[in-house]
Amino acid sequence: MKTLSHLYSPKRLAVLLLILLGFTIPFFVTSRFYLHILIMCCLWGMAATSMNLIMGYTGQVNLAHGAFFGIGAYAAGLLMLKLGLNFWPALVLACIITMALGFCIGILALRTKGSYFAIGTMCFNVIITVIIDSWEELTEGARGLLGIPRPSAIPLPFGGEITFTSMPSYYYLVLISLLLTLLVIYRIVHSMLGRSFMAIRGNEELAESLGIHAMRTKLLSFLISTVFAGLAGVLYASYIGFLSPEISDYHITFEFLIFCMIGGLGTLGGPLIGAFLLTVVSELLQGIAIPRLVAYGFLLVITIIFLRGGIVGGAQMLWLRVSGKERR
Amino acid sequence: MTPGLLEVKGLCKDFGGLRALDAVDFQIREGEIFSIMGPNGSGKTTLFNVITGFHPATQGKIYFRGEDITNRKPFAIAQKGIARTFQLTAVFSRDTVFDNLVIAHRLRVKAALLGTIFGSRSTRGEERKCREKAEEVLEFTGLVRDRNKIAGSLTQEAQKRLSIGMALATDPKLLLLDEPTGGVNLKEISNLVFLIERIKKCQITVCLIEHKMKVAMELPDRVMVLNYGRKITEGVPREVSRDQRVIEAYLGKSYAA
Repeated sequence: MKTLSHLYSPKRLAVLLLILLGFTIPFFVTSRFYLHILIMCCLWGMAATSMNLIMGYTGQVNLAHGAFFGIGAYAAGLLMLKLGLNFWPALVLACIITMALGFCIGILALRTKGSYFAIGTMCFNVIITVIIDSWEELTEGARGLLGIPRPSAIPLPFGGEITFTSMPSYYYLVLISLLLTLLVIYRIVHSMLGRSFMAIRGNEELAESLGIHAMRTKLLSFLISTVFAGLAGVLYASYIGFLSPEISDYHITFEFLIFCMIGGLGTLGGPLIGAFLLTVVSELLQGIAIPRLVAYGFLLVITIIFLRGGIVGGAQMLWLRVSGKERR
Repeated sequence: MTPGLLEVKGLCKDFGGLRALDAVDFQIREGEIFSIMGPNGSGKTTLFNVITGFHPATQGKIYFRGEDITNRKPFAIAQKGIARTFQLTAVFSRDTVFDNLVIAHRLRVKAALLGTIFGSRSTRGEERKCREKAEEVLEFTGLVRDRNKIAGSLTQEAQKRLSIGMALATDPKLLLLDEPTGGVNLKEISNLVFLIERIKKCQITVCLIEHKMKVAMELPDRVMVLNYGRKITEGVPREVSRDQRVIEAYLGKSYAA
């Protein structure tokens, strides 16, 4: 299978070019506005990609994803503001806190299946938002958390340091985090572990009869996806510098969901494409008075009726038709 | 007599007020083909579901190689070495035949998270092991040509072979086949019969539920007959087929005379 032509396949080249483009963009895009959009694209892309692992690959519709994004963001914000921690330890601790809460929620919610799991996780999402909103002594409630600092500089061995005060430097931070997320998910999806996730998506009973511990496998997928949602949340908090309870709201979950659905669930690039496309469009169209969620709703309906696999799924089908191959 | 590979003692299963299995006792000996027969609703599939942990037993014990496995979870039972197929053929219908077989060997490898993320050598080795197993089973079940086909697009007979292949890829000691020839036309049955005979030659014990008389009489070494959840009789096929109670159960009292 792994011949030289495989190594230099057009797909691989395209991915390499895209990564290269990602790294060179700040050299010719200097507008703060466009860089802001790109940073948001990467952040939402990370969140959507991580949601894709539990929803697209493991087949469990997790509607608490926005809550984990919010938990990560709030955990980092509180650790830095209230405990005065440095950004980097706060980042690690926030991810651990997100995972711990994810474990508590996952172990309860994953006992249910199908639409009950979706309903259950959505309830957890609402609960989390309510807690953040009303625990004013800790989270400042609706007033929000103000003045969350940017990441602290990383000193380099030979003098000098990497700072994150400028827009391009922050762009590189989120870009690298996004690539890291994609790499981890890619590795998982193309491994025996990923195959177990997909087996659960295909037929949970059959997977169990083949000796796969369904609960443990689902929980693992759930935890990995929450950690990356938390990471995206941390980066968001430190980028925007301000948090309010709405950031953990179920509306955020539905945005991630729509990114995934429109881009293509269960494909590596789909959620990313969905996140980039919709973020760019919605930021550029901010002047026009179309309620965003209404527009999303229409898009979603159209996608589900005409393009079940989302953009990537549609492209794959088109490619098959053009190339006339039988495989998938 | 040597203790059986699988021993079932006084097994009962109630669904609400209905007793689906009533004090069933039997043994499956190592290396044989054992068949469970009985009219519709006599509890054959329920028996499989209780043995493999999909339904909890109400009473009684199940021993596998001397170890009590009553009410263990399905995945744990598969890991111990009992594989099963389902009456309604179950395969991962959206994946290719090869992928179906690769995942079936998953339970014999660790597939640890960190090893996966960092691409460690042992994790890669595990993956290779699963692929090799899949190739081996592909050959064994005669699915080499269908390797890259989507499992859902195969014929019923090929899907049956694939589901048996998946069970085999778990490296079982005991294979439970729920109607391996169900929904397959008579011409194609010989394929499956041949496959089951070859499985026996590989030192894997087979227990099957069978309706088709031709298969049920020729293939197994021993047969057990259930009716209304009770065991009526057990023995070599020839004797069992002449048993008055069996004929009654299948054809009704009026034919028994």
